[in-house]
Amino acid sequence: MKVIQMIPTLALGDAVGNDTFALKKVLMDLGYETSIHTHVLDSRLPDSCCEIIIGNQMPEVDEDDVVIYHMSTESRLNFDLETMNCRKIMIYHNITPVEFMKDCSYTIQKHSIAGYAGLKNLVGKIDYCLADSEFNKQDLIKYGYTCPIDVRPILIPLDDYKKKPDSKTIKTYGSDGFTNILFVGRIAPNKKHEDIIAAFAYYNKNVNSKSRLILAGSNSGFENYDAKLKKYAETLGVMDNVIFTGHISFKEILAFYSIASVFLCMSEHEGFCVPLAEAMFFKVPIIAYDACAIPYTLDGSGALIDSKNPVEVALLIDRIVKDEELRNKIIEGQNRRLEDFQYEKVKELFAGYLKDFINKGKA
Amino acid sequence: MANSNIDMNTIMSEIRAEIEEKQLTNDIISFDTIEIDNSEIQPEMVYSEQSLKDSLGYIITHRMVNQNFGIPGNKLVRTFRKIIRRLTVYHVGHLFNQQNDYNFHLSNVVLQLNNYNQELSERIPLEERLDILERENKVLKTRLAELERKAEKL
Repeated sequence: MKVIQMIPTLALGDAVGNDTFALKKVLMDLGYETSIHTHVLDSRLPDSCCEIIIGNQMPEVDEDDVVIYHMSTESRLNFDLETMNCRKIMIYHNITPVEFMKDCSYTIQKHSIAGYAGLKNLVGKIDYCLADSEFNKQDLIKYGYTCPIDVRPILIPLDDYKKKPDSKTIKTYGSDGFTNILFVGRIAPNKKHEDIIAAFAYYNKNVNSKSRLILAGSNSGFENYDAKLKKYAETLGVMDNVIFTGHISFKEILAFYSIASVFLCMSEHEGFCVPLAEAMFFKVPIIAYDACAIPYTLDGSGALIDSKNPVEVALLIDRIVKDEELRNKIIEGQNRRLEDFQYEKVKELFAGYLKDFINKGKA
Repeated sequence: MANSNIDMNTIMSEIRAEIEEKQLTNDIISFDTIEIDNSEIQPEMVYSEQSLKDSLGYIITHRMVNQNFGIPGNKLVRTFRKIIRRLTVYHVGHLFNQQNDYNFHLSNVVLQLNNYNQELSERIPLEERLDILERENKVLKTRLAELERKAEKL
């Protein structure tokens, strides 16, 4: 019996791609014959890491085999998957809704609409779903999924974060006594970078001028939004203190986390938000807006707020930076939550779900 | 929630009270007021007839890859490279031929789609004109029928 994974696009540094690679290792550890199959392979990844699906030539499977399908975007696989005569598990990572794409190109909007069309198409054709968060699970139920759905956090190999961070970044941004406010995530409209910039602008101009905002993430595909954010920062007079890193290396990401005073997230659509777990690992206190999967990922830890008022957020940043007792309490809560994302724990959870699913099929 | 050890409601109430006491105001302008010119950031997002013509012209003149391109370098280097070229021609030549076939068909698709688009563009005004004429014809026929009925009564 094979347990294979299928994913429309396998990209470098992408949360879904990382989850796929991590799951492959878990499946191999569990003794399953496994492989990854994709339509589009990031050219920065080696050809040997997966099999390429050409057109509608699905991987060969038997009835007893299991396909784990990673659903996060539009793809013809959302329609071709049903032709595979085997058992199917879908891991739902969520799809960014089109309402967040109004300033984007028609192509990007089409991707979102087509993605949800694919999600609807798979209703009744999937045997079992795993959702990254309770938020994602509720999304599936909303779209009519009645098969069993369990919640399983994304597999994050936290040991990788113990690697040596980039010393040049630390020297450049970590040794001048500035308060560094950090957000890690693709430049994309659903992540609401403008709200982070607005809060930072108030903080920098009225509370602490020795502060810096670091927005770590690639703008690929959202160049217009990126340009608008930069113009916004310029208009607010804080562009000199805002760093748009673009795509950076893993070592540089580690470095930014290690010098951050606060992690600020104003996102309005996330399926899980891996950077929150990363901030927890680096003991960076988190301030996050209460939306989508964020309260589920934090589960009471961090500082969850229901306001985007720049004045309120700026004063909260100031409170956390200056109040050591409050900061330590936040970090304590985050440390407890991080335990739930430990690799071995999530691996055991996944293994349990998979074994139950396979055994039910045999019964 | 499971891990909650901080009373965020109290903290935010205190912050709001501080804002009121100090009469702090939100003077940060809205992101929605920012305008950018999309054509400057991603020129390919905005239709440009000239850009289309330039690219079509490039496709037509560059679709075939020449495997016998000039060999750079001094006499010794060129000789060495010629030998390597001869040794690998059985493998590389095949790849060039496949690539050229693919380029030809792909560029043909692009050119044919462009031709079709132009035909459609020409056809649409004609179809609209035809539609108008048909409606006018219908109105005229109705009036003619009315006049014929009146004439009969006379």
